[in-house]
Amino acid sequence: MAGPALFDCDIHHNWKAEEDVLHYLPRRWRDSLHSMSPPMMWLQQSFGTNARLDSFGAGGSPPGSSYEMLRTQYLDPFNVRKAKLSFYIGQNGGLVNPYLADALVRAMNDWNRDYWLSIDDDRLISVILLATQDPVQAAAEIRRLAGHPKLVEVLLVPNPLGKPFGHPIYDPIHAAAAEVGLPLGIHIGGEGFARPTLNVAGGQANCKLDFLALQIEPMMHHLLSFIVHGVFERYPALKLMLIEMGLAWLPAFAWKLDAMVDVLRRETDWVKRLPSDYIRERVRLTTQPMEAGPSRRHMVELLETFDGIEDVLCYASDYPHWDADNSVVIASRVPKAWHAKLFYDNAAAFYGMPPLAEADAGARVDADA
Amino acid sequence: MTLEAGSETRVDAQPIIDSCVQHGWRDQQEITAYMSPGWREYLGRPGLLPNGGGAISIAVGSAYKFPARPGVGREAIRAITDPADLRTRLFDRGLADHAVLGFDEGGFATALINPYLALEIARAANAWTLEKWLPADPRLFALMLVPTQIPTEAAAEIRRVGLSPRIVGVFLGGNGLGKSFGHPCYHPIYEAAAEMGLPIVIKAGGEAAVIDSPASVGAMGDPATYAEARIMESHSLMTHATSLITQGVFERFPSLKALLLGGGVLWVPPLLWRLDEKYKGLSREIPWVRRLPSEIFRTHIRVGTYPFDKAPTPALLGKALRVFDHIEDILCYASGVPSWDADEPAMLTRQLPEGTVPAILSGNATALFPRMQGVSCTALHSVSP
Repeated sequence: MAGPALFDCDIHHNWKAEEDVLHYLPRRWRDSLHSMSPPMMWLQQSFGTNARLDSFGAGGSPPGSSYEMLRTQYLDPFNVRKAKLSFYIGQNGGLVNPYLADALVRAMNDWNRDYWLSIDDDRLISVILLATQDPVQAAAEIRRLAGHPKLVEVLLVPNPLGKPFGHPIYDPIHAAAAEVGLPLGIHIGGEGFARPTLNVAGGQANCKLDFLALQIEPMMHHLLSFIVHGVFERYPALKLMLIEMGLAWLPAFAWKLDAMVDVLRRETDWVKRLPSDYIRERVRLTTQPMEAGPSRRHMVELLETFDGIEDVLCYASDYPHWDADNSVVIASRVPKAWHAKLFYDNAAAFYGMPPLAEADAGARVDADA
Repeated sequence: MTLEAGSETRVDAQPIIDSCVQHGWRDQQEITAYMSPGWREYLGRPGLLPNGGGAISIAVGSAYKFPARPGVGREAIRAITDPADLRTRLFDRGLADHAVLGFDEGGFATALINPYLALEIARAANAWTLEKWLPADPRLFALMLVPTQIPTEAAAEIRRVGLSPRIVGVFLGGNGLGKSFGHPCYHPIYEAAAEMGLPIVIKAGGEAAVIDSPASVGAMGDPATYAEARIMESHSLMTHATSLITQGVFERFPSLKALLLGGGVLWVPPLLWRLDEKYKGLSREIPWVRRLPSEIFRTHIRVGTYPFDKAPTPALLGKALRVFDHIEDILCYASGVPSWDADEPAMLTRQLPEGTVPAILSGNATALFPRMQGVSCTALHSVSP
């Protein structure tokens, strides 16, 4: 199992024991969480595990909690050159107490830096996780951690305010990310459990199947809000990565936006360009879970209706989750001409890193030296 | 037959059924006239007090208003409030041979927070449709409105009003409970609809059009602008379609069909691909669903074309439509008249893949609305007033 060299934009990592993170918390919150069994560090959900069963470690340690297992089960055999670690999945900041949420996410970021980013493996990169319900505090967290060479993105997951992430309430976050020069990432799933947020339009998802199938709805709303509220206009260098909602929805959605540009402009001053231009220039989508469609042909033909689609797609596996994609399978389902961009170079350019060929050349020079 | 149709020209004798014409009342007293004296007194009479006050409005209306340019298109979006007006604007222009009346924003009034008032509105609106509209023109058929907040009363209303032969479907109206329409709480409605041989109809906007609706227009809450709300109107349809399938509505009521409209068409293929894939991993959650979601969709769900998706070029649109094999099997022409983005048949047929037009313009609708079968378009033309 080798497959193409990968820049994997969505790998989930976790702690072995809650104490690993808890000891970063101030005494007050540590005592408070220790008094609960188990400590409430996660949003409540009733969906069971979402991990591959073979990713649990010896003694039942959580999936994604062992670097050794990540390396031997995934990074080495699948030719992963860059692995963006994205927490599990980072909804923690959606806890109802905003002060606890803020403290917990800070502790998680410290744990991530000390436990994972200190590992001597240049493939590992990661994100600054935010508790989004207090945008001013969240902006402070961005500024606190920015500058760490392995932290390449600001990740937004939980959404307890119930507004899409382009809404002006989040302006402090947009401003801070733009100021420190980091892109924003949005990973699906944060709207599901963070009350009072409704996870879909028209009601609530009634089971996990509904919830997963319909996660394109919140992501489309996020994307739309960035355009309508002018986030890309106010912050001309800010970029956005949309993580884990598949791809097939994009062409028709972009057409709907472009067809409505006239109406959009009557209601907001911010839509200066054709909406799909913002998407092409500023937005990237991770591939997983890539729709199979009835056949390879159906899927590719649909994607091709979005001009320049090969420039906006970035590979993600979602390891170690149960519905992770396999890069060898994905490679067989998209045109060869897209491979270099999709599997590595688009993400590298997005995160300000050299393309694969250059990275390989650099590695040879280092080896010769 | 070639009919002059305004600026458009009918190219052949293809019969046209418009599955969504949105009829409405000019004044709510048209509706309250069908209510009991007690309800009439409770609701009051507009104009009784200065500045139009004096009545509790039964149609609060959407928080999102289309920002029309001053003076532009005013005539096209004027509400259709009497059958003669509809005749002039639709039939006389050759835009349809038959029309299914499906209520404008007023139909969402059943989401009002008082469920008993919602029930009265549904009953009155049905009586009003039966008396004012259907006798005026034999080309008209209609949906009936049901109070979805009290499903057992809705079922009783279906069994009562559904006896009228030109009532061809059940419009679920506004989303007053905040549950997606597949939720088990609604199943008594579907039992009655299936029993009466009536399809259910869900129109986008049932969350936006009444501010009392506890369900949101977009995932994660309501958007800021009309344009966003309109762009995302397919989202609630995706949620409703998903829940109808996964909550086993079509397994429990195998003869039931549903028409979803108001969100365009191209939302369908990506959703079905996702549903089929998730089904493979999670079918244990819904053991009563025994077929792929896409197969259930093909069998039971039809999609109104309005507002038809606008691609950069017709070739791209054709390509996007063709990724759903035989998409012509699930589409029913719907104009959405008198909405600002209403469609006309010629606009649609110009862009549809070859050979798909007859099914989309009328074949699928007559299959969906069995009560319209056997009604000859030409025969009705000869008796039209």
